Amino acid sequence: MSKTILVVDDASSMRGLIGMTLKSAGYNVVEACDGRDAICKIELQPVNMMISDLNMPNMNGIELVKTLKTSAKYKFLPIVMLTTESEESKKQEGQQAGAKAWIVKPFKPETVLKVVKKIIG
Amino acid sequence: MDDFNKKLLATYKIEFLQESREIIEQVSTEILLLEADPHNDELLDSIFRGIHTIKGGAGVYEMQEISDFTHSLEEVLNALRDHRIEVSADIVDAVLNGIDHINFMFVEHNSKNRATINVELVEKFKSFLNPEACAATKKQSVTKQEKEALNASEISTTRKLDNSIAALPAPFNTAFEKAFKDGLNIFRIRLLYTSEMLENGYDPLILIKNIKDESTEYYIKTPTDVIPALNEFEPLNLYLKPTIYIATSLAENEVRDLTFDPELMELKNLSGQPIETTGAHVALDKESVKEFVEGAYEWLEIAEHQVIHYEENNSLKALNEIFRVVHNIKGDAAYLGLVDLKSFSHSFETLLDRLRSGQINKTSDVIDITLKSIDFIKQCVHSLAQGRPLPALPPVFNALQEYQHKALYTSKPVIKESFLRDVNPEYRDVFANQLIQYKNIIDINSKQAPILPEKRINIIRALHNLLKASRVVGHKMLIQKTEHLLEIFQTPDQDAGGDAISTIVKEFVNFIKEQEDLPNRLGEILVADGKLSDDDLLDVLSRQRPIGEMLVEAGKVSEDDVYTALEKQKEIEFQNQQRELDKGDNEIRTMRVDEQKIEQFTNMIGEMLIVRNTYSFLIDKFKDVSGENREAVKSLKDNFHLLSRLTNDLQHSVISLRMIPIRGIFQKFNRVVRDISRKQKKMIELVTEGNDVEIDKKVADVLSDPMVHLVRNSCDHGLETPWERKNVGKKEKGTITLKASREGANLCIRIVDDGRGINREKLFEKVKKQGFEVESIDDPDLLNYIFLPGISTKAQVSELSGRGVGMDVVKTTVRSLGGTVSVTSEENKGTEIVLSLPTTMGIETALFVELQGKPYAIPIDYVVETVKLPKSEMKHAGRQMMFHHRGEVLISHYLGALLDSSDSEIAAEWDVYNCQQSELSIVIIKSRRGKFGLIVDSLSRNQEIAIKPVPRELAHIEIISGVSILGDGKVLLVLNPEKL
Repeated sequence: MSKTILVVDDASSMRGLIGMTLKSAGYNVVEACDGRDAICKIELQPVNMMISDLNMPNMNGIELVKTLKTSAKYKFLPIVMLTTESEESKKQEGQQAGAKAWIVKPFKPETVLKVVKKIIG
Repeated sequence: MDDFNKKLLATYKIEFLQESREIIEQVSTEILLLEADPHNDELLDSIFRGIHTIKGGAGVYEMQEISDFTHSLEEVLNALRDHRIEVSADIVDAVLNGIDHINFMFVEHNSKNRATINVELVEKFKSFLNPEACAATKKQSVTKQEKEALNASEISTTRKLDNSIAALPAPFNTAFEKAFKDGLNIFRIRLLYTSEMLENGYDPLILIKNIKDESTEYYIKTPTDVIPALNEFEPLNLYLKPTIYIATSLAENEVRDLTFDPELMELKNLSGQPIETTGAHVALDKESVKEFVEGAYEWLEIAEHQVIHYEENNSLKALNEIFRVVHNIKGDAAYLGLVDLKSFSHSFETLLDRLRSGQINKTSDVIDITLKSIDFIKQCVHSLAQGRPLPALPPVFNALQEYQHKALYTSKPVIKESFLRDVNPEYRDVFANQLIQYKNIIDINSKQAPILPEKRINIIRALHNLLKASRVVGHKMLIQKTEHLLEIFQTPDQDAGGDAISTIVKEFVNFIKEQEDLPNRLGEILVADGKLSDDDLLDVLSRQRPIGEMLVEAGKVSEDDVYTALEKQKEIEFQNQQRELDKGDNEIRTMRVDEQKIEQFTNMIGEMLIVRNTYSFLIDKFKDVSGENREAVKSLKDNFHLLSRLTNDLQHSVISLRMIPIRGIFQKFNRVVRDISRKQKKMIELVTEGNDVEIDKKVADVLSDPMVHLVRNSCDHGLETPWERKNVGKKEKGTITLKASREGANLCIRIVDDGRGINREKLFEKVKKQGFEVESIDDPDLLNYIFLPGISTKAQVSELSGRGVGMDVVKTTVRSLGGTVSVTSEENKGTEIVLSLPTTMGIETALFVELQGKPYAIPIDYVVETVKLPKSEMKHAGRQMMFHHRGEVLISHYLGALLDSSDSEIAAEWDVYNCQQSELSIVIIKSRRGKFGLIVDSLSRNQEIAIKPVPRELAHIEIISGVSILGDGKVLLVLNPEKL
């Protein structure tokens, strides 16, 4: 069974790009436009992994990770954060919260696939 | 794959560009709002987010220049966000210019596939940031270079197989040796996954599998003796720490690349020895080692000192200092290739970090480990200084690792949020901790009354410390209370009132107790009081059973009843969930649709209306049908009415699709006005009215430029300088008002200023000079000449306006939309310019009239009433005809004369006496100029028609506001009563 990945980003172009890349490699993709949306979507459909942006309205990436990691249900969900090199401090915050993998923007679609493969195979 | 990627990028690039445009627009507005409200962090966040999205996207879609430029802008915003710099007019200017430039870069990129960075602006951005930050980035780039140099030198190493390979068990050692001879690289890999990683869902097995897939030879050694007995086994702990030996064709960095985080892997190349080989490398190495050693000694001194300080005072600052030192050492160790020292410092750092964030508590055990760890680092540095190999990892390393993934988190003291409201969130936990500790000390020591002298000393000491802590966090109430208590304790005659003191102390203790957020569940209270252990509680809790089960057992309800109730409960939960979801969905219910699609849709509906009207024409033909068919015609008619209603609804919906509130357009002018007021040092306030009036998106787009021109004109020419305004007794701040309103079939946009008004004399002279015929200075049409090219009353041409071009452009644009421009002005009071635009093609009810056998339509909004008037009632006064109507004298015109404007003489000759009819058909029309009568040959019915804009070629004919096609295919002209 193919694995499902939740992609969270407020820019729909970014979501689309990552989504298509993952779909082309045979993953299922669920999209969400911010942290709150992500939590709704994840409740509807179990996912194997999440890729999330940092800066989003309503609920940002760090808050999202913190929320998910406090719930026993999503504790084991591997999370990849999208970030830019200027967000080193955020990175630490995110790592504490439980997001251990990062993709640094700008990235090529292949990079996303590579990272995903490293984490959920 | 490459091709696919390119296509993918291209598809989403378009969407990204669209998004960026929207972001730029939004950010421009927000930055202006920010200037007015500089402490609005939410706004700042939103701006930052917008710019950030552009930056990220630009990078992905290979618009490097845009990404770079946006980055420098983002730095400024980031500094604002961190309150390193404050919002100022200069910064707002620069950011606005930056946003403009980003927009410009997008345009440039579109046409030339590359864009130029505005270096000046980048410099400006940098100048806002403190010089420290600049230096830091520089330093970073230097080390990067050095690292590259290091990597380069590593490549040219000689190959020699490490001895440890020979020690591998039988078949593997020879296999590895063979692989080495074949030219493969041999690595030893240790996984540095922690239990925490496991808990967060990152699976080390996938990395192991990836490593195996890439290896020719593979040997894994996993010590299993670390797995505890089953009763002590923690399922979430990572016990196995395998060491993997591989022979692979991959280079070192490629192996590293197999993990998503290189820190998770300790990699040792056993087939070559990068250190100590190349000459250049050794030189660099020695130099940096020396530097490192010198720095490290100093740091470690500090760290040691701070540990003591931390132990005594619980100072967060001290802890941060230690953390910083360890972090630096870790960085340098990694740079020097000291793998063991690096992983040691890493674990150490994690411990400190968890200590800092309160995940583990400060205990003497932790302090011991900290000191021992520092000792070990010292040893390492010492060995380095003497050129000896580093010592092996000490036992304290294991202790460190244990702390890394053992959650020693005990229930932390909680103080009500409300009490700590004024305390910096960072300090809250630490402070709450201290507060409770001191409270306990005071509580214990004051149990006996009167208080014994040695206990008094303890209390005073605790109070002193509490006072200190309160001062650090700035908790005023507590400072006061503590000070007060200390005063009492220090007054010399305390012995007399021993009891009194103990009461006061008790009061104080109780006060703090009140602030405690006590656990409210029975189990928690028992645990907090030490009557029950956490584990026991969990054990008992796990034995708790659902209420349903217990009820069934007690025979109170049947199993089936419980089952149904449970089902019901589930359903309710589901419904609640669904409701939540619905709520969430509401917030994102917009959809982007291509403008062209809507345009096409609108046109199709227009066509449909025309077809529908054909039916009304056809049905009319059945007028005289009788007998059986009569019924059929009747139902046909009914059906036709239904169709009419549906098409009308459809029409309205499609029009509403294209409508946007004018707010968006008005908002843009905040920027325009602000720019001008800054440039010309005028004080200008922009007022907008009628923000919710809707305007066709297309019209809005076309109108945007002319409006900018008009507003600029008003600011530049209309409004005086503050000094001038003061002199004539006006407020120093000038006002520009933008008003939108719906007036009949028209949308009116007014641009009003309270400036000096148009100088009629100057305009009169200028108009004359240009060779136009104007009767006098008081000619009401005089003002309209400002719309002609080449007329400007401004003596000096300014940067902004005043060249006399522009106003004519405004007029042409507005007219191409079927609208009109008019101007009224009063000297020293101000000027008002009105753009009146027809609401675009829609269905409108119109009155049909006939003239010389041809039908014309008059929009019903203008028609007051229709009358039939005996010929004799029409009076003549010179060339004018007029008649009495409901107590008013109304001027009337013959429509034929108005339409036939080419030869006014002939038109004038027409008069009622030439008319064959005994009665005149008159439409009384109300336009903005007042009421008047329009004489036509005959009046027809009202009908709904789809009005299309006048074709461009006919746009100059002002008296026609639109055309429509009739059921029989004839073209119908719709009159514009305003211009008749």
